[in-house]
Amino acid sequence: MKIGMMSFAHMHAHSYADGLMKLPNVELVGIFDDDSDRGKEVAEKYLTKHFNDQESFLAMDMDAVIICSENFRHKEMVINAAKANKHILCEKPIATTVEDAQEMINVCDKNDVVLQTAFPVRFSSPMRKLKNMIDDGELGDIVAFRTTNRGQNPGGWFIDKEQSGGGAVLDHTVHMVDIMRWYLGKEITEVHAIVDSYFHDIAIDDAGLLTLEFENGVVASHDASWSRFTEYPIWGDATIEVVGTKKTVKADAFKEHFRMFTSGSKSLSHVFYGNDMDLGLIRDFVNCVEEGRKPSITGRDGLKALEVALAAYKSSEKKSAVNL
Amino acid sequence: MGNIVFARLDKIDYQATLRTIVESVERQAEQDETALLSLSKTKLDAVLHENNNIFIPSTLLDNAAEGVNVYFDLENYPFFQKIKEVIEKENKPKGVFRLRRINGNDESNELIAGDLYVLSSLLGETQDIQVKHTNQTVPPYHVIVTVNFGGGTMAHLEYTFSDQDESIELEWSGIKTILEFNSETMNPTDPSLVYSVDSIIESAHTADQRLIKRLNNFSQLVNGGAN
Repeated sequence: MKIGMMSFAHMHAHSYADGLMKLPNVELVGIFDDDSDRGKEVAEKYLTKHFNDQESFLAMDMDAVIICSENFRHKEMVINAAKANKHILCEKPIATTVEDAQEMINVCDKNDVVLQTAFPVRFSSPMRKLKNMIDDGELGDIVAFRTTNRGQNPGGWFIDKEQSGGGAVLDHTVHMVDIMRWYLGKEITEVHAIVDSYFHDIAIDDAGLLTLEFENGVVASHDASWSRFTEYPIWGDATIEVVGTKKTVKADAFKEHFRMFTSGSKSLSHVFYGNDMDLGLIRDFVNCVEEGRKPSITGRDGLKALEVALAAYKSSEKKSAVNL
Repeated sequence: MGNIVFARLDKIDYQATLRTIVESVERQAEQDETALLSLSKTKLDAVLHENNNIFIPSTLLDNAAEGVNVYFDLENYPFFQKIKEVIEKENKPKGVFRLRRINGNDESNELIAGDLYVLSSLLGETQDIQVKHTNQTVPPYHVIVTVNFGGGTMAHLEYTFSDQDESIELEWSGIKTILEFNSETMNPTDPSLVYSVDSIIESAHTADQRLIKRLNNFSQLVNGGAN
């Protein structure tokens, strides 16, 4: 299968490209990046061709593309790729507005191409095991969720609202909202949030607490932030606690680690040894395209997660809950 | 007038208690002895008007108990006292505070009101409190309290009332300071959620009208919904 990559603006592009290189049936046929220096550098690293021009890149003979641009460019690239009949894996958040996300979904449907949202946390082993436990009824009925997704401030275009669409709350809400929707199979109907900027001297949010209610009465809390500093032992977390009528179980996508102590400014590091969820995501996307099946994580999944994150901003501004 | 302390006896750290403890008011021979009694409204009523120095948990307080000394569960835990010291070192604490408690089914929402009292004295006056809870008839009952303390601190306080072992998790994500506590990962042989009688007496607050009104206000918010 021939796959191309569109933009390395998002750091996840590197691990997705690493994933492509590990799959025996996949060829990385080219990289489009209009940041020429960056594009040439990664093309050299992955032994492929760099394209400055999107049109000539999309004219290539290839099955699919992976889009890792700045958030505000997802729409443009998804629509162009769909019109060129390429299947698409799009980095999260799928877009910066719900209307853009819907348009992207419509164009992909019209052109009969796959649009998968990149939610790699679904491929974390602990997250999948917990999903199996829920499906097997081990937890009973779900009563509540507690989730977190905290990390470091990525800087760059992430802290420019024009390009990112939002700060930590947008960046770090969509993953766990997707996991909760996946576990429960229900939609969120109410969002209450406090969004603020505490940790960095930046003109965009870096902290947020969300309280959610699902259509069946299940309640949830979520902590989204860029509160982790470089000396913290690990980049961050992606955790969930599921409170069930029979049992309460926790999972953390970054929990599988050993502690390493060294002499220096960062004395303690958590060395992660868990499964490579980015590889899991890429393999799933490749299989989906190969088998011609519906993606496991759809464009609509991306839209519904985006909708909740954007509602959090609205709730914080209004200082009241927002109904979806 | 000796001290009479009402407490859950399984919460008492006898090793850390330095005061002389007796098991009943009748055995209280000396002024400096402290009678330690299990939680009982009947026992409390029996000693309430006898000019005793009484210490009760906030969950037992009602309007009739003005003048007694009230202590707060959370405020007495040694881990919380240390965490408080660290947070208080910051001039104006700024960050995200998360508290998660698993409590027995017999505990009430008054525990949440008590926590709000303790935390507002640490993190600032509450500007907005939102309460979200599950259907109380379907166990476990779960409550999420979202608090905006203003001035740069937000908090989630979460409570599950169930038959699981009691536990507390606390996290503070501050500016260049992150604190994490989980009672389940502490001492594996002894319960970690205990405190001394000395701590109860030293941390207690006189139940005046201001305290009662404040606690009632928090209690109404928790029981009645959003503010």
